Amino acid sequence: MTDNVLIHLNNVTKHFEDDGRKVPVLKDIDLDVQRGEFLMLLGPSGSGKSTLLRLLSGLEKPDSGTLHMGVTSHSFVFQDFALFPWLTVAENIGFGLKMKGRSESEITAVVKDLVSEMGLDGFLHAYPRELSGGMKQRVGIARALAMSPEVMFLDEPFSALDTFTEVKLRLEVLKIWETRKITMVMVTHSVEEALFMADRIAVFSERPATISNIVKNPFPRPRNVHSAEFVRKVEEISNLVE
Amino acid sequence: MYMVKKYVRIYKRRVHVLWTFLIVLLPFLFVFFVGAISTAQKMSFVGDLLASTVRLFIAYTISLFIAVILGITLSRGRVGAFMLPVFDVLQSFPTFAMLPLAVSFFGPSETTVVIFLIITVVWPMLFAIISSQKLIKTAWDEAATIYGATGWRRIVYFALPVAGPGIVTGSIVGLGEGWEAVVGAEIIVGIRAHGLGGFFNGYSQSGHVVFYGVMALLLFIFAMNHLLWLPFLERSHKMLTE
Ligand SMILES: Nc1ncnc2c1ncn2[C@@H]1O[C@H](COP(=O)(O)OP(=O)(O)O)[C@@H](O)[C@H]1O
Ligand SMILES: [Mg+2]
Repeated sequence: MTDNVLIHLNNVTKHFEDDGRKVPVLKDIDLDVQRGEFLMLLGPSGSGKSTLLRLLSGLEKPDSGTLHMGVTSHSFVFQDFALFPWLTVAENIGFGLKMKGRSESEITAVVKDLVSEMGLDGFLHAYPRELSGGMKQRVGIARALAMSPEVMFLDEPFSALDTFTEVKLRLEVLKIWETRKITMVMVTHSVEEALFMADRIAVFSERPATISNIVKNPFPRPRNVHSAEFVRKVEEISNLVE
Repeated sequence: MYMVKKYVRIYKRRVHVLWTFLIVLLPFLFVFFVGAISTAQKMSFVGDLLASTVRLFIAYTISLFIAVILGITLSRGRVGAFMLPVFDVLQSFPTFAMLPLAVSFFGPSETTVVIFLIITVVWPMLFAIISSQKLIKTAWDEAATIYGATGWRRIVYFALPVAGPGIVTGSIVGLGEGWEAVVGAEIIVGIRAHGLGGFFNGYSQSGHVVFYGVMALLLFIFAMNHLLWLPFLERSHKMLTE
């Protein structure tokens, strides 16, 4: 494993049990996550993208194959936010640091910075149930950033949001990626989102999923989703997905 | 600071608190009133109710402690999978049948009554807490894992808040069975100290006294449920609303 490879997967397979039947989900997955990159996992729903992301983040173990994790800290942004409803916004953001046994004053300082960075001012003591979907995911992202992660995993983080919020949060996540130099691995089923955000796109085949292609993004940033080349490339990748 | 506030604020208005006190006092007023028109020893009933309440309260507190610890630690993992069926058998064991044996072991003391009450109260509480843990959303569980909740911190900051509704429903059912059991246990054990068992046993010849006693006891339990436990239940569910 070279210095530039943070996570290395070799021949990884994964199945689930359904009524005692073995259902293969991932088959022969080879993948490197490179330091500093924005890697997108793209595929139809049910193809096993979330499962791969959970393997990468250590939430699941592979059945066979090897997974080398050269990462000291990572965090996760969930599709349905997964905020803790019994905690306030501030307590949710500080949860990871609290679990690490950090002092209250340190947690307060980190939370305060993140709250203003993520545009959550005034919601410090609100509960998640009082927030809109967009605000909830801002809290989810702030909670992930509080860990100062080397790698951030994002599982369709905008799919529960309206289009306006989605477009806005995409840009904010990109800004975070650029300024903080966090390696990001994100899941999406939208080709356009993948091509807009990622450096590389790992395209999933149907289940049991293999990674059929890894597409290098040819466009410089910032990207214009309306340009003819972009639209053509979206179509090209869409054909790979089907 | 706000941690404290959010758990104490179950009463929406001060009037609610006043009503609670008033209605909890009602059975006592009721008995004083009845005492004036009957031969029942009103002071005896108040003392008896108080003594039984204290015994039940002690048993409840110990049960709460046991049920929370066991419920949270055994709802996951192999030991839990092994112990649950064992508990299920133990729970259905006819505890009253054991009482004479317990008396010959511990003597006709208050301790025997309290131990018996614990055995009665702890089961519904344990199972309610276990089921609350089984219903934890996968996403919350994964978020807790990703953000490093392990050991005692996972219990205090994750498992316990999630157990809230289970603790409250378990308490309502457990105390309900506890009130029945306290009267029976005091009679069978035959303790000399104050107690409802002694009261009902002593007046078993005068039907109207027993009737008024039962009415007062029911009123007391009803008041506790409506003014204490139901607001707690509502609150605990609200704390888990996303
Ligand atoms: N814990 C699980 N138990 C059983 N089956 C699962 C589990 N997790 C996922 N699956 C199945 O694996 C397949 C892939 O799921 P997932 O990785 O969530 O897909 P995607 O994120 O691409 O939509 C689905 O068919 C799903 O039903
Ligand atoms: Mg998914």
